Amino acid sequence: MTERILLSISLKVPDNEARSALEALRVKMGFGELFTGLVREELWELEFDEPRGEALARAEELVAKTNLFANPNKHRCEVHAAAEWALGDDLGADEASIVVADRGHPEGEGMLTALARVGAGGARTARRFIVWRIRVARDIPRDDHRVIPVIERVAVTTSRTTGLFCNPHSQTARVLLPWGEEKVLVA
Amino acid sequence: MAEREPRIAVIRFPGMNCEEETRRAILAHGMSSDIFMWNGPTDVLADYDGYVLPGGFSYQDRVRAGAIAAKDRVIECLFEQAQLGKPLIGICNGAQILLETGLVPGTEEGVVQMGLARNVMPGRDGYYTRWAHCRIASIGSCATCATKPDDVLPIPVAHAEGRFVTATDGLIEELAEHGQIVLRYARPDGAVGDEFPWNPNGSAMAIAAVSNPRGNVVAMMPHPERSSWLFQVPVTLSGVWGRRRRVARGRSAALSGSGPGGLVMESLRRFVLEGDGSRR
Repeated sequence: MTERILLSISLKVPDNEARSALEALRVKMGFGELFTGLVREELWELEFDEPRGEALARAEELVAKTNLFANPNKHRCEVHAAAEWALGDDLGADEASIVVADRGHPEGEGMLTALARVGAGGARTARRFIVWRIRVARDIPRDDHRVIPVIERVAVTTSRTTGLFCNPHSQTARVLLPWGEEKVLVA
Repeated sequence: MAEREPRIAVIRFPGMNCEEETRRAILAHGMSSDIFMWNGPTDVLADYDGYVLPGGFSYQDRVRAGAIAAKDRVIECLFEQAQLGKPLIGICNGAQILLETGLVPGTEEGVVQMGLARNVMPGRDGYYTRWAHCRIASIGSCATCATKPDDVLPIPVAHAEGRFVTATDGLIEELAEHGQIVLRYARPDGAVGDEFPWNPNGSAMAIAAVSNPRGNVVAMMPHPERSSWLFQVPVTLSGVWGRRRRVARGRSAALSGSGPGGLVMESLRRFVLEGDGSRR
């Protein structure tokens, strides 16, 4: 049996990286007031060969005892079973998430090695994602043909003026929309 | 008649940290140079003969190394100057910016065709620095036109995101065929070093530097300003330059001579004075 556990990590303090990215969208890329907010979260997906309850308890223990995923002084970390919680479940009607991951980089192995070094094993695999939760100036209806293409366009860098969050040559990207739809932009 | 001194602008973005030593290395190789602030009046940029984007951490590498700086107005001006054939060298973070703009490799105009991904190194992760042996793969660029084919230049690398990658099938082969792969990581004897630590980041085909088709824009991960004088070369280094350094020990005039990275600066000077010609 394999149980997937998700760690959703965000800053308690103001996030300068998200502020810079929002500034780049609004000023350097000319989107002005279309985008009204941006929050950056880190998502770790861990796999355990244990039943759900034990996997959840073990993941909580890894977070609490190692500080490798989050520093409790500045981060908040939520631990969820993937079967019971999906990224994007709590998106507002005016929000979308752009989920980016590095391709071809064994980052998860590094985390597993680091966990093993501090005697905190248990996870079988680990994978990291960056989640950019972007807020637009109005609600996004299902039949929207204006805002969604813009969000997709800012997600993937295809030219100097187009895209910011994902370089498609080294990263993957997908967009989550408020009604639960997921669009893979770069596999 | 004395040769004129090329004027080179070193562009400083917030978070960069190699602009002063890059400027010193340029000055030491027969050029004049100013540090140009990223938010300065861009109309004066046209007065320069060439440009260098130095190393560092523009915008603190937020989002992704080079991603935010690539959107700045000053880059648009450099884009215009590069289209006139003027040389533009991006070093380390400067290289990351150039790839994020699509200026390099530039086989499809304006399209981002490559990325500099996080290093892949066996048993380790993150930032890595060492002296890398860089073999000249093409002399048809503004960073290598004063070198000889297959010369090996020891130049330090220091980065966390230096792995040249592309999702475009056949692109790297096309770059190799057209002489756009400018430097490759090598062993001290000059054989291409595909494996760690000779290739310090897992870069495809051990690529250390790439140019645009015309050769006037180069994105290079090694830091030539850190080996522009012979005294900067460690006495323990193997290969020709290590031997030169050991022979020069105790002789200040020899130690103040040009180092391997100085050939990149000399190439920049020569490129300005002689034009891009047709070196390929």
